[in-house]
Amino acid sequence: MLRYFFRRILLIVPTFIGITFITFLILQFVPGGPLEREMLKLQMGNVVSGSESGAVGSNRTGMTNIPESALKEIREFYGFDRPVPERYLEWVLNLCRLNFGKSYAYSEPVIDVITSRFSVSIYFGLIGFVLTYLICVPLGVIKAARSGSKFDLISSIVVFLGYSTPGWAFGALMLIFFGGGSFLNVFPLGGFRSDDFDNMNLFGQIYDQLRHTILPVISYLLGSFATLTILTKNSVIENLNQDYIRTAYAKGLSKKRVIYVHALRNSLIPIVTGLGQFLGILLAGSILIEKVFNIQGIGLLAYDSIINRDYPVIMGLLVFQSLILLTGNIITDFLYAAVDPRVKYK
Amino acid sequence: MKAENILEVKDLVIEYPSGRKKFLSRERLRAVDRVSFNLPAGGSLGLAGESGSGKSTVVKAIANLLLFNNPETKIRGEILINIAGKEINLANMSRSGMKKYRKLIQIIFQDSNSSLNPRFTAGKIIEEPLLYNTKLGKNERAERVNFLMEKTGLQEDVFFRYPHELSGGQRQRVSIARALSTNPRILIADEPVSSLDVSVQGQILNLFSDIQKEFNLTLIMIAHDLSIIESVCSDVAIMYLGKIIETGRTNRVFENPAHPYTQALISSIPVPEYKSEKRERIILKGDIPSIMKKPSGCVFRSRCPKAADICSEKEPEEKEITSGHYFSCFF
Amino acid sequence: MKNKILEIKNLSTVFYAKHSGQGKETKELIPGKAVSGVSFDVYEDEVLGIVGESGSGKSVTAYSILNLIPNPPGKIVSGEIIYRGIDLLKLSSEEIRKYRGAEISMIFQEPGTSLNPVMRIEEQMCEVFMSHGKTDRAEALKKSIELLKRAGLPDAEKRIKEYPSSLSGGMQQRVMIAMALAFRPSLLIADEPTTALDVTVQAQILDLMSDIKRENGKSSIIMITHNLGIIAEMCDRVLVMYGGKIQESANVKDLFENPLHPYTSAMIKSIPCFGKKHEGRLNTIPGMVPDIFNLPPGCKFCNRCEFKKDICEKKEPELKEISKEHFVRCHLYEG
Ligand SMILES: Nc1ncnc2c1ncn2[C@@H]1O[C@H](COP(=O)(O)OP(=O)(O)O)[C@@H](O)[C@H]1O
Ligand SMILES: Nc1ncnc2c1ncn2[C@@H]1O[C@H](COP(=O)(O)OP(=O)(O)O)[C@@H](O)[C@H]1O
Ligand code: SF4
Ligand code: SF4
Ligand SMILES: [Mg+2]
Ligand SMILES: [Mg+2]
Repeated sequence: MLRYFFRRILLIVPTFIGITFITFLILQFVPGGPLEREMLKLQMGNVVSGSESGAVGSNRTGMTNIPESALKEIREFYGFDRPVPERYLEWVLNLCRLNFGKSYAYSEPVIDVITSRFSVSIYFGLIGFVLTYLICVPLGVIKAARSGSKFDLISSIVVFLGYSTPGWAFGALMLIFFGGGSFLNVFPLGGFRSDDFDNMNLFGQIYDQLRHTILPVISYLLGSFATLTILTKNSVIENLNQDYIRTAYAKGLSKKRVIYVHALRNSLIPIVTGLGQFLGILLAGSILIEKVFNIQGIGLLAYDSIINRDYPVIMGLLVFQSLILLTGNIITDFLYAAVDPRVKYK
Repeated sequence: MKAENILEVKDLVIEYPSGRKKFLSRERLRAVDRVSFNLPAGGSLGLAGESGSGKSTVVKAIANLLLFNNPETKIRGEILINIAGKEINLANMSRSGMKKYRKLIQIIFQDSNSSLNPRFTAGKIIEEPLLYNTKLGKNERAERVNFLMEKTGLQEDVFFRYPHELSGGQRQRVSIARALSTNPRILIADEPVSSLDVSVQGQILNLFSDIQKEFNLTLIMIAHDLSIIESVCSDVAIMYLGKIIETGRTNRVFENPAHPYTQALISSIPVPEYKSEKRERIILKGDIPSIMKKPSGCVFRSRCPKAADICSEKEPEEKEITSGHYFSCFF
Repeated sequence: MKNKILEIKNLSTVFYAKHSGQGKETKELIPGKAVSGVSFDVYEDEVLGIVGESGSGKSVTAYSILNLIPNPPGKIVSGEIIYRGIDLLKLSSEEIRKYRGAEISMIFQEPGTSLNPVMRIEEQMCEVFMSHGKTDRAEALKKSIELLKRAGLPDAEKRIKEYPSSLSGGMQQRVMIAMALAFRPSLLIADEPTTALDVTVQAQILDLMSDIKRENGKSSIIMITHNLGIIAEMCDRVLVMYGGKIQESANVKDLFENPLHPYTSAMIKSIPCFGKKHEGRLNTIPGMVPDIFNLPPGCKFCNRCEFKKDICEKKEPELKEISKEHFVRCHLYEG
């Protein structure tokens, strides 16, 4: 079993190299890369200066308008003068020293850009993750135990309403009602913390952080809430129809013990299986919600860096995200074996 | 190969790849160990023994399904069939090579629920093999399907029904009709009545006896219930941990069981007759060992009431007591 | 006369479903009569067999005794289950709990699925003691190991730490039996306890049950099976069920030597019996067990019976005592 997980962890390395190399390669051929952007800038400058001097541009391609030396300079600056494998190797070697390079757009080390954004996303992601499991699993179990009751019915309606509302739209609506002061000034209009956060006392800080947390977290969770609740409920109900439940009742166990010990333990199997991936999804952030609440999270960063062709940031994000996903999968397998004794990895 | 035999199995050894890896190669599980038997055309052989003894593995090898399911399975020995005087070895036959012979050997499984396509009607299910294995036209096929349905005791309205709309007995009849559609020489049935009601079991067993005569079939039937084999099969082979430990004419073996395992098996059958005194039964200790932990010497040693020192030292040779009745035990 | 320990009076249990047979689905839920009007007694120190084809209502009868019918879709619509003077069906769920697993225990057909796959044997055994009074864990563990040894589980101290999936079917059934014996129940209900096992293991389990019965003295067993061989070897008295009703009830000797009901005698004739030469074909019963949603109004066996009379289709015969303690439900014996 231990050897299995050791192998799995070792396997991360080739998978990881595969993913990053392919992305690296693709980035070289996507139109609108930094080279073209720089050229475009230079070209625009040339056209403007050209018309001032009264000369008529004889060549439409414009390429000739950029001096060969400038082009070379740009290429060297971005390292595009060297072959792809060589640059990839260099990138990997730098990676080993935790050097992700410098962001084109922010002119800061990539690692700083990502970590500052990541801490925000981890904050929202983890809170959301813990909350979902803390609420959905017990809710699902209670719904199963009282299947068909009023409580079951009403909670189903609420949960499905949430499921069919896009998180960002709900967030925007909440902001209109509760945020900023148009109607009720309960919550701030967005952001991660207030500007004067550092000047607050401890309770003030906690209160402020909470006020900034509640609406975005609810918006994040809206979708996954229904999925997990219903998954739990169905899984418990399915297990309540199994033979061993009949045995448990026939042994004289109380209904409580039958549901909360016998059925629940088996129901955890599918729930735990989704855990790793779910964590990955939450940590990936959501562009729309981050936009609505003006949160400088990872989703927005990914979006911006792709638009800006900020290759070092894209590659850096890729590293983080794939590491999270790969470890998420291993954690899933591990938990799976932990909750289901029949699972044996070899 | 003797002329009257349609099937001869010689020293058949089948090893499944196990999940565990050994240095450089995969560990293998020997599910069938040097199994040999002959079947004359029109004969019927019953295979019995506890679950895990390798019965299904043997018949799947004959029906050439093992490599199909897992190409890493190792098959050694010979499975010879006699087709119009020509001798053909089916062990390790490739899928394309098997194409010509597949229609001659048909197999029916215990769980007709999962072996019938749920999206086809019974009529379609029976017709399908005709599409692939014969050149019959549409009308001829319909005629043949009707004929088969009549022979297997299926009412006409079953033609349009889906498997889930049929009873277990009807589904097993559909399986039999489908198997018969290509005019096979050898029909294999792996526990064909185990999941049926007691009163339906008899109907299906009678059907097997009828079609065997009518279609001149050679029958191999697996059944864990020895009374079923007694009533349907002319010959029997008792398996334990991958080996045939006793074989012969059914009545001889069952009247005079020579191997301690056969004796125990027969003694454990509850008899539906009133007796004022409870009879003494041979009750074996423990379970059949896993094929990964086969005992040395005689495979039955760990549970044998008669085991002696010699049994752990070497394997007993096969002995013949009366003509055609063989068993493998020192005593 | 022996003491009655259990008296079942006019038990009827239904299952509701949207179904009417004939391929068409009904809109509303309609009740399917799985068991109707079943009455019988269980005496001290006897093995009572219940035999019949699958779907005849044997298990439903057994589960009804401990009120274990899942509701919905099932419901016990009438009847009394009187155990030592108390009607178990009138008890609250908390009260009946004291009887389950202590006074009356059950073992089931599929030992593999009847044990919780993700709990160790230890936990599943100890909880029986711990939920019936104040036994502490150490005490419960000690008793559990004793019981497992008694039930013939080799290496009980080690095996008790394992999960059910690492035991063979026979061993799993031994664990179930050990669990059922925790409080020396006066009644053990065994629902096809060996149907899923190999014959050799079946013999072991039946042997174990006989041994335990002998040791426990006055306890009784209800043995449910479709196997007439097991009935002949294990039981003192037999109920034959068909279509949710008792069709015949007699002691074993009378049942096998003088079966009265056409269903009973057809069943005895139709099973292949080891060691008896059959001349050619087996005797069979044509047709199949009726669906509980489409039971015939008269005799439940009438569409398969070779002695059917006109009245059989219209009127259900009564269960009548023909000779001493030999009851049969059939028009051949009426009037
Ligand atoms: N596909 C397979 N891979 C590995 N082992 C197998 C496979 N199929 C069967 N076995 C093993 O081979 C042995 C014989 O199995 P089988 O032929 O199915 O026995 P039987 O039909 O007599 O019950 C068993 O121990 C079983 O676990
Ligand atoms: N949980 C259930 N839901 C619906 N129908 C059931 C259920 N349990 C049993 N039945 C039906 O009740 C009838 C009697 O079943 P059962 O008592 O299990 O028969 P058996 O004699 O084989 O034990 C069958 O027709 C079965 O389909
Ligand atoms: S050889 Fe020995 S162990 Fe094997 S069956 Fe004979 S007596 Fe038993
Ligand atoms: S009542 Fe009629 S149909 Fe029913 S078993 Fe008796 S003779 Fe047969
Ligand atoms: Mg098999
Ligand atoms: Mg049953």
